Amino acid sequence: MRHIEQMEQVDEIYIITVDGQEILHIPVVYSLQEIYQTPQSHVLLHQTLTRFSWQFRNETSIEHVILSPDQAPEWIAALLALGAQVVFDNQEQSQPLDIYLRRGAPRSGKIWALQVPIDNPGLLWGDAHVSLTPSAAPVVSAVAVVQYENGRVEQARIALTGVWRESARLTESANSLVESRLDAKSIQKVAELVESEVAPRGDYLGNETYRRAMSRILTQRALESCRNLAFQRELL
Amino acid sequence: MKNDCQNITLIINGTKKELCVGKRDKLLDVLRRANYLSVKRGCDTGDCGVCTILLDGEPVRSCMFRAVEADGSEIITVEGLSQGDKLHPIQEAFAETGAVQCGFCTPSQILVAKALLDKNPNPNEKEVREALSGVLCRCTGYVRNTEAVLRAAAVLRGEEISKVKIVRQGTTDESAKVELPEAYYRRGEELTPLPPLVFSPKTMQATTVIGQPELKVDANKLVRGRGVFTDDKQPEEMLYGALLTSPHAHARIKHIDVSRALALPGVHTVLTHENVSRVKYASGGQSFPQPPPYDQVCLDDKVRFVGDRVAVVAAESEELARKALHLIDVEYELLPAVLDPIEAMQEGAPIIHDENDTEGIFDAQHNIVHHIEAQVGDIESAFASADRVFEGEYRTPKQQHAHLEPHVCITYWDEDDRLVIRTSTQVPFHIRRMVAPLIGLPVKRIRVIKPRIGGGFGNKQEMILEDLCALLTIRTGRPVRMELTRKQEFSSTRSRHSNLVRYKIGVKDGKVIAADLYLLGDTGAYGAHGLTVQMVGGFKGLTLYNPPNARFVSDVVYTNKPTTGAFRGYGATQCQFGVEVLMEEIAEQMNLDVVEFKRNNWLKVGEPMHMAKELGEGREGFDQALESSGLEQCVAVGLEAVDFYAKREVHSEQSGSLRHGIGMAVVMHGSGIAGLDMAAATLKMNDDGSFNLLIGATDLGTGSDTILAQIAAEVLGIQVSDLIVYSSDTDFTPFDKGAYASSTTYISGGAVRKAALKIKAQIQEHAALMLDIEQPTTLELQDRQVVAPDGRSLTLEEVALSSLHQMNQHQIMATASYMSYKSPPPTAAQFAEIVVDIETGQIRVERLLMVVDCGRVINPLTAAGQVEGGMAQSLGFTLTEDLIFDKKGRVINDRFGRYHIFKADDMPVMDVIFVETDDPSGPFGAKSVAEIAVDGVAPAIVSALHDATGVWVRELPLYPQRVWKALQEYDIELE
Repeated sequence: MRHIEQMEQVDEIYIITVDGQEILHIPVVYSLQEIYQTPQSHVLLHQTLTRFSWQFRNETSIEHVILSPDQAPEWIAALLALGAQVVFDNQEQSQPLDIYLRRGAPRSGKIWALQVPIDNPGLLWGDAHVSLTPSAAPVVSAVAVVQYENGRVEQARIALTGVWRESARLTESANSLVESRLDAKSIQKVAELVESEVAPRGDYLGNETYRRAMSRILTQRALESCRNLAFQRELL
Repeated sequence: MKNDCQNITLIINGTKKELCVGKRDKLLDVLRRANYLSVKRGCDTGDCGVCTILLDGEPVRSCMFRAVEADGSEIITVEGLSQGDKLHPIQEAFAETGAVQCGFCTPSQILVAKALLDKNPNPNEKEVREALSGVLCRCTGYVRNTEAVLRAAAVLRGEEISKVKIVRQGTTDESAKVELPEAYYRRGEELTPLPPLVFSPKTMQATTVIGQPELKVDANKLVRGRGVFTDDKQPEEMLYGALLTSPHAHARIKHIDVSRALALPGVHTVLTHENVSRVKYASGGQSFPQPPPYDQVCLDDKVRFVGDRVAVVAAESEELARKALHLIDVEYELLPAVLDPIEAMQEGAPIIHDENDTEGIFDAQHNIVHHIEAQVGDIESAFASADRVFEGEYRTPKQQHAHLEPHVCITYWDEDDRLVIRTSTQVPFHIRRMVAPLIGLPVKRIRVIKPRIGGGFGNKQEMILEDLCALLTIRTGRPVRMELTRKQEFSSTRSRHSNLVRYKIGVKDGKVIAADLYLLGDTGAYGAHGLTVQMVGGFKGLTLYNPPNARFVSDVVYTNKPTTGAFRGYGATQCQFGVEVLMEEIAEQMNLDVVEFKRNNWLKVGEPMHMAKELGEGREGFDQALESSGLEQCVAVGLEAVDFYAKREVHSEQSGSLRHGIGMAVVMHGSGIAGLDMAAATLKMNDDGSFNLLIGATDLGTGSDTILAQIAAEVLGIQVSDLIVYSSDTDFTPFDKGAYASSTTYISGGAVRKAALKIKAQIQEHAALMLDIEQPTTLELQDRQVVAPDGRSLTLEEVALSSLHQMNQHQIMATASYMSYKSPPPTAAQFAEIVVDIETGQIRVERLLMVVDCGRVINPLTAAGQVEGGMAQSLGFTLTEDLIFDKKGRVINDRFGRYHIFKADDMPVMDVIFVETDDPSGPFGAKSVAEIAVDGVAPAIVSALHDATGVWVRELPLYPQRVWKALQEYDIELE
């Protein structure tokens, strides 16, 4: 059971503190534009929504995207990497989004809210993608989020698009980073693990070989962004 | 209230409206039914954004909303922005900056701009582009649109704004150093749109109206979102037509049963091959006689691609018509299909045209519709004597036009029992002639009206719907409307020919002495423009460097894919891509400076175009020589503006994953079809000294109505506002071949100039009578006056009133026709700067600069718009656009998004510079500009890619995967 220590109201979007971490609590009826405009939204959420048109963000609710994740796969990947949780309409139970999105996963009702961590000094993030043009849907994209404490990776999440049917979190590969330092060697190792963990299906924009290769390169880049952020924040 | 609808309340543009809507009605349909015609239908799937409205102040796409969901909301459409005659500053800015071309997406872009400026009065260029990115525009390159929003923002902030200007510089002879304004070097990070820069030879005759950035004559109504497009005027009692298309790539219709469809109440008729006459035709809108083969019929008992016509229905509503399509039972005998043109030519391949009533197919057994051979000089001896011979093979994609307004047509009987066809076409006169035998009416009983068109780019140089719609009206006696869905646009209309382009070039002492071009054209299921596209490709592709020994061989091949047709560039784009890349490869292999090598070889003034007679357009051509060219200066200006050599030097020392590259290409095009294209224009003087300009020329968003008015105004000493332009109505305007082949400025402009000169002579004659002057030609027309050498003057109104009512009464009017045995080529230098990620293969284009010689620039704003829009389309051709088929011949990417055309926030910096020349045969020295704009981007980007990486990629589009694979094979090092 998560322990909610503090709740602060920001309009109708709440910031809660769970186990010492600040989390943004957003009702899922909110539109993507509203989360896009919320200053407390994690920059990854903002960044991955920029590709979508203003109109789409206005028309589309968070709930809609969670129920139809192929509408905004890289945004879903960002949520997965950030460790987003869905809260059900009984308002008591919640579930990690990656479990909720699994086929056949048990669900405790209709989703009511989304909870996403707010940036903190130890939360490092990065994303990378390849696409036809800056605004085109990515052929492959990778998002990495690392909680870095005391010179070690405490928690790592990596999510990719374009390497499975849907956006997916690569738990095994990411877990291999835990307890390690965020250095070039460990990043390369994880990227290689990702390459072996993915199961892409080819199409005209990228055959299996290409997508697999991109999963490695883009994961590496996403993690290197995390590392650069760690340098900027003097964590390394 | 009807039983099946519910009342909703909307505040639309400040007015409360009670509307009765169906539960499933889209807000888009409800608004259009309520006469808010600025809200356009482009895709119905939320991908294009042209149906954008402001819902409670926020931009949303009305096709994605059910009307009932909007109950109680406040809606703003563009109709609500202007106050009486006074335009909103954003509307004004769109008109003034040249942001409006066809105008179909304009209302949505204006609304998005309003929403942005309401929230952020001082946006930067990036924020503007992001806001506009939800509305696709296929005509512009988003340059002027971005400028318009920034300009409107300044106006709304209360800043003083100067008139939209162009920058004009005197040139320069060939040896002179280029004097380039600092901004055009783009040395900093500044991305703000620059006005078009025009270099003018000091020897050019001064003009007053020509050369000015005149407002488009249709800009006002387009920024207001007025109902000026085909679908915006619907007759009463109109039925809705819908087209059933084939789900199979190749099949024979064994049996078709329409009884269930006909039994549906509200369905009036169903047409199939069983109840429509079998009259052979070719769908390409070209001059009489159209090139064979006539391999189509309105409805056939055989289908030859997924998307081919099967049946057509007319019903009381769109929904009913679509429902009826599902009730048509078709039994198909499936036939083996062939999708690849090389396989299609093999022995034993499925025969796509096995019917016995099509004449003129070169080799039906091998699906070769045309085999073309043309030669000048002694090619084999020339290759034998060459120092070196080079070969290269290039492939180009099946790009789709993706105009935002779909094909749409409305037909009805008028009060004299004549059939009116109101249609979105580029070729109204050809349509009238072509449709007549298919529907069994004489030409004189048909009137074709072309309203404003929401883009065409060649796809509306075809008869796609008009015959079927007309047949439905004839069968039912009722007006009928037909509009294709976006999916049908991708799968049932036309596209650019995908080509295999194989060049062999012989070089001796640095000169190209021989060129052999083989061109394989995939025409899809029907011949359409197959012959002429390849011939134009061959001509342009062998004339740019114009070797005296040249050979062109082409096979045009049927496949079971959607038919290809005319598309801006028309074969020249594909062939010049091939020749330009091969010239680069040759220069590299021979260690020559690529610019010098090209300069040493490109066609120069005075030289005969060796292939001109051999390769006309679908027939023998005419001998031609190059009479004007600014290519030398175009290249010089461009090299200077992009700092070409310095950058190439820097790029040779790069490392890391992001590599910069700069590339260039030179290109040429034509101005109409020599010896074939003809246009006419009529001018008529009114009581107040204004004029009606009646032209058959077809403005499809290009601004041709405006530049033709500028030509007339220049001759008559008046302003554009003194002309009432009416174009493209077969009953009321004289003949014009239509909008294609880059012919309008040159051919139609020639006609307007001739008509205006006739009018001028009539005015001089009448004024001479009034002033008692013996020599009418001594009278000058200027500032709406006729001025005598002795200083006396008459207003044009006085001349008009006198001629109509008082003295030697007659109507001052004239019609003139123009055709030419010349097709003067515009020339241009295209530059591209890119960054390529060598680990992913992704290319980001940072800057495109095109320096264009289009003769005299009639209107720098509309001309720049043509160039910017052409470059944007060509970016798609180069990087993202290709119709992709599955094994069954179905288009996989049959909607926007999957088929990615460039959006506002995708665009690189785009600059346009004109180097004027004074072509001796063009009106006021003008040549064409519309098509050359698409020719250079692909080779320039491939050149830049090579500069960045050392790799040649010879197949388009440059998908990241394709580039990555080439880089893997090249084994490029990161460090």
